[in-house]
Amino acid sequence: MTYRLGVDVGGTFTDLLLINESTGETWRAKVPSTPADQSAGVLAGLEKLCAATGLDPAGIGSVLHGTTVATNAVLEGRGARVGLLVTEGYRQVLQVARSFVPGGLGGWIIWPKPEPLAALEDTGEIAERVSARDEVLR
Amino acid sequence: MSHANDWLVLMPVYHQGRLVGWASMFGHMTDVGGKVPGSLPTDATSIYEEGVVVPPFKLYRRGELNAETLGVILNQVRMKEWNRSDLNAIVAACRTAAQRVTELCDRFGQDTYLSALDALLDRNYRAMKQLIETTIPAGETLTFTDYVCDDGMGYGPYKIHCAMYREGDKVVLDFAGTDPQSPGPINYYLNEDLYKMFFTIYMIMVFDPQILWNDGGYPLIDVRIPEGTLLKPRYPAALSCRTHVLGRIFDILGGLLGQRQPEFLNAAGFSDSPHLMYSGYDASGQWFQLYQIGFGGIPGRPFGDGPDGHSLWPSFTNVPNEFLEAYFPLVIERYETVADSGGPGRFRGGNGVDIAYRFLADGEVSIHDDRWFTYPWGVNGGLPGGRSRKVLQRADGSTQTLPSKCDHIRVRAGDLLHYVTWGGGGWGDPYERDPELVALEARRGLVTADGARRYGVVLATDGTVDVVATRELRTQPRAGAQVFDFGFSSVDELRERCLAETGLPAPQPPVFGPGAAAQAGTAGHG
Repeated sequence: MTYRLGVDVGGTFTDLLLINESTGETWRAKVPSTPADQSAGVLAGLEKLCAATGLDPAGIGSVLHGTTVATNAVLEGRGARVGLLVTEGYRQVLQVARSFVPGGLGGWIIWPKPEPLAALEDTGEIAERVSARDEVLR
Repeated sequence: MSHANDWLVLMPVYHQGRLVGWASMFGHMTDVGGKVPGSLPTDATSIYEEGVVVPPFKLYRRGELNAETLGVILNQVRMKEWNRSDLNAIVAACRTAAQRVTELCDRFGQDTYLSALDALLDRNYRAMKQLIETTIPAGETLTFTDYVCDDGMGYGPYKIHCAMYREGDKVVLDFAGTDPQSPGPINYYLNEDLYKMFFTIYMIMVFDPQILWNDGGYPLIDVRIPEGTLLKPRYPAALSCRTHVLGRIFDILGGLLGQRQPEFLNAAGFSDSPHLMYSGYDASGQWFQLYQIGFGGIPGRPFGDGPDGHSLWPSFTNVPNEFLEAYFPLVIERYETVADSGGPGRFRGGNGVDIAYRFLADGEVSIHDDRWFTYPWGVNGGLPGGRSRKVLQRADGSTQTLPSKCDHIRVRAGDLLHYVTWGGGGWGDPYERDPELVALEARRGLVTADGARRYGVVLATDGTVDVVATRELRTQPRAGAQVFDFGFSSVDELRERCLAETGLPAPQPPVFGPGAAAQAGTAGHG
């Protein structure tokens, strides 16, 4: 008898779903997320599930792992300070981005432009260029 | 519709046999035939030179495509499959809208749906009534004048003038005093209801963005445009290059709204939709035709800095260079904003963009841009943004400044075009900007050390703020701040320094043709 475990680590809670692949029976657990070390929350959830079902963790055949941690880091701008290396002539590629201003006609009047994920002062250029046809131009 | 490139589809929406609404969508066709690729001839003097003008006709009759008529139209354009595909997309958009309306009627019933629409219109009407009463002073006429630099034929600038005043609970927008229509193609046939839409959304965005936007408030707005002017030219005036005037009337709206409320006033922005056309035959003998739209500096706003190299128009995005280089014989060597081109202010105007196109095939280029002669103005002590310019560096080493509006520029493989757009005007006193922010933007390459001095900031050689020198510079006497800083005292003065500053001769004062309204410049509100 094999079990499958699904894990979703969110900003506040870690959700787990255990499926008995033979019977389709499911169990759920919800535990607090542990941002300092997300694995602690996952293991706590697993222990909770095992305690409730009497399951030996060795019986779990596969673990499917999803998380919004990376998405939240992007949304909240709380990731590491990163540098960006780009082709010469494109240093401001994230500054200009797609030139898109959301909000419809006149939306520019109230749009707060988000800061790029890599700051412009941390962006450097490399003197190189590859063409759209994969030719090395310089 | 204001020029032949725009194709509009209207579709009635029926639900159980009852007309419950109309779906509509329009799009600018890359080409509608005529004398130049892209169909925006800068030297057109009548609409007959601007490609196929499609009158209203039934594209579908009882759901069946009118293929014969469509075939006649498509036979007159350069890129038939593009027009066909774009038209399909427009029809699909209308069908999607119709489908959604039908679903609403299915779910809630026709009567509920239609009365809900009335309630939404009424909500906007009441909000606009309140907004007009509280933001537009009664018993006072506010005016604003701005310019389009030239008509593509060596004449300009053309004046657009608008007065705004109250008549009871209505607001009047009166364009008397606008220059007569141009003999060239920069005329913009402005529909009054369209300007009501522009006015409504700007009022909402400037004063209260939470208000629901629709056309419920139209009865409260009276738009008056004298016939024979730039904004209501007489048939058969050329109309194709109307994008500059269309853009500029948004600056005029901005200059009118908030004129009495500096905390709501925006500087002049990237009020245009500059085009680059590049066409010819590639190495395999295939016809290519590029239609590229440029972006520039969003103005400094009460809200904060204007973004660099962004679009003032909704839903516009740049076309990825990877795509352009895959489909057209060119390499984009640089794509960056121009340091110091954003107007200095407490809130900086956005920088314009410099795109360097290396052409890989012989061909022909057309350019459509503006604000090369006048400036994007600053407000509340903010300074004007930098102008646009177009410089062609020939493969033979020579350099040529191209006019802001031109056709038939022959380019050869290896030539490099710098297509430089303009910045946004600045908002508020630049001396009130945090010196540390100015230093940061210098490190970012968005302003230069010299440019920092326009903010009263002196940078040390290591890029940090020289606190003592900055304090000293900021205490030196300056000219008093103006609500609007246009960057010139008179058009004549602007003409005098044009050649030295832009590399291009100043435009000649416009000569108006017989079709233009002789009285257009004098009639109006007493």
